[in-house]
Amino acid sequence: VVGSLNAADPHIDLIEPFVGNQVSIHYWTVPNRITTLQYRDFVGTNGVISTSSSSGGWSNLYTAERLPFPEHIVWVDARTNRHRFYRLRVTP
Amino acid sequence: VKLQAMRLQFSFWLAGLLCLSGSVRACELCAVYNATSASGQSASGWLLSLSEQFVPYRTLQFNGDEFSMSDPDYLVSSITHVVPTYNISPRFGLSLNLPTVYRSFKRREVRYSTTAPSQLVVEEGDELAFGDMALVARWTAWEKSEMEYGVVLNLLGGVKFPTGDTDRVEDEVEQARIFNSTLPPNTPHDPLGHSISGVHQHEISPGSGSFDGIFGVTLNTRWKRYFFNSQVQYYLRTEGEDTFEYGDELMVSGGPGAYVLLKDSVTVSLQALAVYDTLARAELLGTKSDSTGMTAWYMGPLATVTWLERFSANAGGDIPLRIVNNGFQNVPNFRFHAGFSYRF
Repeated sequence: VVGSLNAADPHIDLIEPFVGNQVSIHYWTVPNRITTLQYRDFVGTNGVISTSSSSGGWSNLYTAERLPFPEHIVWVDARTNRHRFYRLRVTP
Repeated sequence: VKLQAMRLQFSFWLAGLLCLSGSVRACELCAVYNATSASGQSASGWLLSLSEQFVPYRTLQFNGDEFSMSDPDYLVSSITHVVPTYNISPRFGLSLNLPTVYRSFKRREVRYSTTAPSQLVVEEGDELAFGDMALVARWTAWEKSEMEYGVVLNLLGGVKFPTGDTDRVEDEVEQARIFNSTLPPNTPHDPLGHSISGVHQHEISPGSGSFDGIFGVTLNTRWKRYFFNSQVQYYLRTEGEDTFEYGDELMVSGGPGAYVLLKDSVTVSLQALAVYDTLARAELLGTKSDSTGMTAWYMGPLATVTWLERFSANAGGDIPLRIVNNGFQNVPNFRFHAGFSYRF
């Protein structure tokens, strides 16, 4: 296994450059919940998401199945912009 | 004549006993012994046998505990063995096992590439291919047969050859290799850590790419219409395709039975079988995977029919009592095995 999981505080463990023009995102899913990795290309300088942003809202990259145990996920994404923001969305 | 019929059927039980492989690999001894038994062990010459193992893997387990999920992955495995056998003498025979492997499955996978982003792939379909063939020798080390009782001790040994296709094993190792490259150096991890499914590619693969050792012992005892048969099988796996090595497998089974019909031309027997089956973890890229390997206990019936000393057929099923597996795996719902043999 890699890293550890705090189910009460789902978080992205690591984001680092990968081969070529790519980036790898490391995180654990939350047991008995649906964990979705999302991204957004634009976030306001104060951390507030602007609804008028041309990129719209958060977009899903990968939704993991609801399982009774945590899974370690590594998702490789393309670096198509100067910056990209990621978050985990956890739903029942 | 009855003694001859009893001896004939006595050997047929072994065919069913040996058709009990728990893993998705072909059960070489099962099929080979199905052929061997058709001769009644005391006949030289040619035999041809067909045997079938059918196992649906639709039960999801994590570290031995069952759970459910919506639209789960599954694997249904069917392996048909064609086994020509030549008994050089009553005590010694050689069998060639030619398996045909059919898999029906659905599995999810996050695909990794060094040139493109990750991709979630749901693969559903079926595949039919020739598996790994094997050559197995039988030696009846000791036999004592009288009207009232009988004891037979057989030793079996052989080699499985890497004749089946291994593209899926190769792809699984390559995916593991790319996944590993995403991790910080010296990070401890499972070599199949990239897998998000309980159905792995090496379980679908018809071939392993390895030369494996096959060993077996059977001990069969009979008193009048009653008998107790037992057997031990061991499969010694070696490194195959691209560093992948399947786990060794040990199977022990046995149980009491009785003739329910004993005519000059036809015999029918029923047996209750208990099975212990333990499969070690597989290894790839130099590390054992904690998402592989399991130990299981089964019980089930086995029926055997012989006719005119040339035909034999057997069928049985195994219901799992307990399966303790490592990590996330699909495990058997039940196992069905059957065989048919003809002596020329």
